[in-house]
Formats: sequence, structure tokens, C-alpha cells
Amino acid sequence: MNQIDLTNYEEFFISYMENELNESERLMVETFIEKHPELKQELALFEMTKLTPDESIAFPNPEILYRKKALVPFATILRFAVAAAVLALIITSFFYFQNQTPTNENTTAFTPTATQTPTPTAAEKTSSSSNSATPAATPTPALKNDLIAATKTATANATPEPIAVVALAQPTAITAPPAALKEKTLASMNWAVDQAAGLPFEKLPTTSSSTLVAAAPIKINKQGQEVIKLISWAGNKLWGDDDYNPDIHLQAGFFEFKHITNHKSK
Amino acid sequence: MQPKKNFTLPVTFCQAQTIYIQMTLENYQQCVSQYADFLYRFILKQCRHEEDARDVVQNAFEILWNKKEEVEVEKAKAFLFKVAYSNMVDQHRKIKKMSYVESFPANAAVTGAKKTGLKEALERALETLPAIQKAAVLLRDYEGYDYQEIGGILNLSESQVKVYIHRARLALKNYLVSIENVI
Repeated sequence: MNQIDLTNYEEFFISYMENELNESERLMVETFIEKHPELKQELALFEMTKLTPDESIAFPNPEILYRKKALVPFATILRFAVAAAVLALIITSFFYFQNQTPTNENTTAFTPTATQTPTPTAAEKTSSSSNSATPAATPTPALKNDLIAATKTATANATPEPIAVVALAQPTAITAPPAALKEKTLASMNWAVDQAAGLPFEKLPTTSSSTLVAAAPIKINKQGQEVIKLISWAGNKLWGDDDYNPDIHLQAGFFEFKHITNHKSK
Repeated sequence: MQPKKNFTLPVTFCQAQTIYIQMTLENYQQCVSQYADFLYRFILKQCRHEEDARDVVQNAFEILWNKKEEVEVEKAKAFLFKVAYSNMVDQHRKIKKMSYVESFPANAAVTGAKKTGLKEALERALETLPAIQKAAVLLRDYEGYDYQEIGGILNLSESQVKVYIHRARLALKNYLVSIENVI
């Protein structure tokens, strides 16, 4: 900035009262005023041009500016209420039917009463196979060869279904599995891994039974979902984690399922 | 076949999602309670018509609400001032109430010079300023904005803002001097 003199002092005075000057420039202005005391009044006048807001002026009706939370339509509330009621019913009936089944370690304990299978269950097969030298025995060759065909005849053969029931029923029914059950689990998991390895899940029909599977980027059929559940539960048991969190382990199962199948397909 | 033991937690599933700081309903309500009066004073000082000022402020908040997903919370005040100012200018251009000619009325100091009191005198002096100078000096003194922020609100460069504010100060000072002379 230039030196202050009688031709440009107003500019300096404004900058001074606007706080735009650095220390040396401020000092220069103050020295100038000492030399020209008649201009002190003028600097004071510049200071007086600072405006102060009139606090008494306020927006007359601020309530018109505020917004309210959007109301949820009644139809939406009703839909959620119905969904909650159905969910509660399912959970209640699940516990009810679970209490109806025997609680010993026999594999029939994990077979649903409604299962229409005339053949021995897969869980039984895997259980017995776990005691043998080849724990990963295949329950049905049809399932390995062509999954889509197996899906179509799933209700008739119903071979994978008991596995699914084992996976669903075990985590809530048993907190500390005995050694025999652990072996059976490992055998079941081996079987599940084998099955999962052969699943061409990109081509499978959509059948979503949980939000996770529904939200999954790939389509997984009912059987694939049950395999995921089994892997998640078995994985949990392998980790030795007593606090079973179905949500977290279901996600874990899903990723393991993907990992295993991708790995095997390569 | 040996059991697979490579079970790992699904890390990708747990990865944190990017969080955008968006204006919530609460943020908006805070803006109303904090800025509505300031904005109203700023606009009223310029358009001098209560109903017009109210409409402008209401409109500015309406726009803020509609764009709440785009406006950052910290920049909401400046956004409101910018929107309100440009809205006011548009309105007054239509009805030609405001003059944008940067000339100082020659006899402005004389009118009402008999009245005393610094605040009233400054109020009258403010009325004599061109609209853009008035807006700049009001933002400076009422809201304490720096030149850059004022430039953002009034669509001016920083140096333009400085020039306008300096001219405004000089005009206000001259007005006060002229009153002293008259008295």
C-alpha cells in the first residue's frame, strides 16, 4: 500500500475502520492522525458509519416457515402392521412345532413333522457317514449332476430338505453341541460344500426366502439358501463361538458359499 | 474330504458406507429460528415494504427446503441470503421500484437533515445509497461477512465488493458531515 497523505487519507481511514490494514499500516495511519489532529474527527465520522441492526425488527410470522414431519399414510402403517402380525405368527408357530419334536440326539429330531419324505433323511445319511472313513458321502447323485432338475423334483425326493431343517433348527435349539453332533455337523458341512460347489446359481430360478438372499446380487434358489444357512451355522460351530448371531452368520454363510463355489468353479 | 476351515467374516458386508452430510428437518428448523429475522431485516432494509420482504423471505426458505439435499448445513445461511437477494432484485426490477444507477442524489443530505440522532441519520443516509452498495454494507455490518462471502451472495468479485463498500462508507460519512453543517 502507498504512503498516506492528504490526498488519499480517506481511503486509508476506511480501510482502517474496516480492519483491512496490517500492523505497520495501522501504525502509519495513527502517526498521520497525530500529525494532523484536525482529521481525527473525520476518522471518527467514518467509524460512525458502521450500521447496527435493529433487533426489534423480526419476521412477523415465523410459524409459516417451519416444516412438519411428513405423515406416514395409514395404508403404509396397515401394511407394516399386517407384516408384523404374520411374522409374529410364523415365529410363534416355529417355536410351537419345535417343542413338539423329540429333543434327543437322533436325527429325526431335526426332521420336520411335515416332511413328506419316505426315504431316510440326508441328515441321517451324513450322520452315519461321519462315523465312517468317508464323511463326505453324497446323498443323491441326481443333485450333483443337475441341480435344476433336482430343484424340480425336490419335493418328490426331498433329499436336501432335512439338511435345511437341521440348519434352521440347530442354532436355536442347541447352545453347546456335543462332540458327536459336531462331527455330524462337519460331515454335513462337507456335503453342503460339495453341493454348493456344483450349484450354477446364476442360472437358478429366483426363490427368495430371506431379505439377505433377496438383496443378494446373484439369484440363489431355495436349496442354495439352505446350504448357505448350513454353512453359516457350521462355520459358527467351527469358530467355537457360543454367541450365535443368525444375521451375521447368515451373511458369513452367504459369502463363504460364494467363495467356495467361485473357487471350485475355477 | 477334510472340512473347510477358511471361514472368514464378510468384511465387504461390514464396510462403512460413505456418509453425506445432508440437511435434516432439524437443521432446517434451526435455520428458520436462527436466520429468519436476520434475513427479514436485510431484505426489509432494502425493499422497505413489509409484505414484499415477507414474501421474499418465505420464498427463500421454500427454496432452501426444496434443495435441502444439495445445500450443506454450514452454507445454508449464505444460501438463504443469496437466494433472497436475487429474488428481491428480480421482483423490484419487474416493478421498477429500485434504481440501479450508481449516482448519489444531490439533495439527499438536505432532506430530513433537521432530524437529529445518529441512528436515524444513518438510516436516512442508507436510503440514499445505490442498491448494490446498500446490500454490501448491510451484509458487512449486520452479518459480519467478509468481502469474499459478500461477493458470493451478491455475485460480485472481492475487489468489486471492496470498492462498493468504500464508496458506501464515503457517502455515509459525507451525509453525516452535511447534517453537521446544516445543524
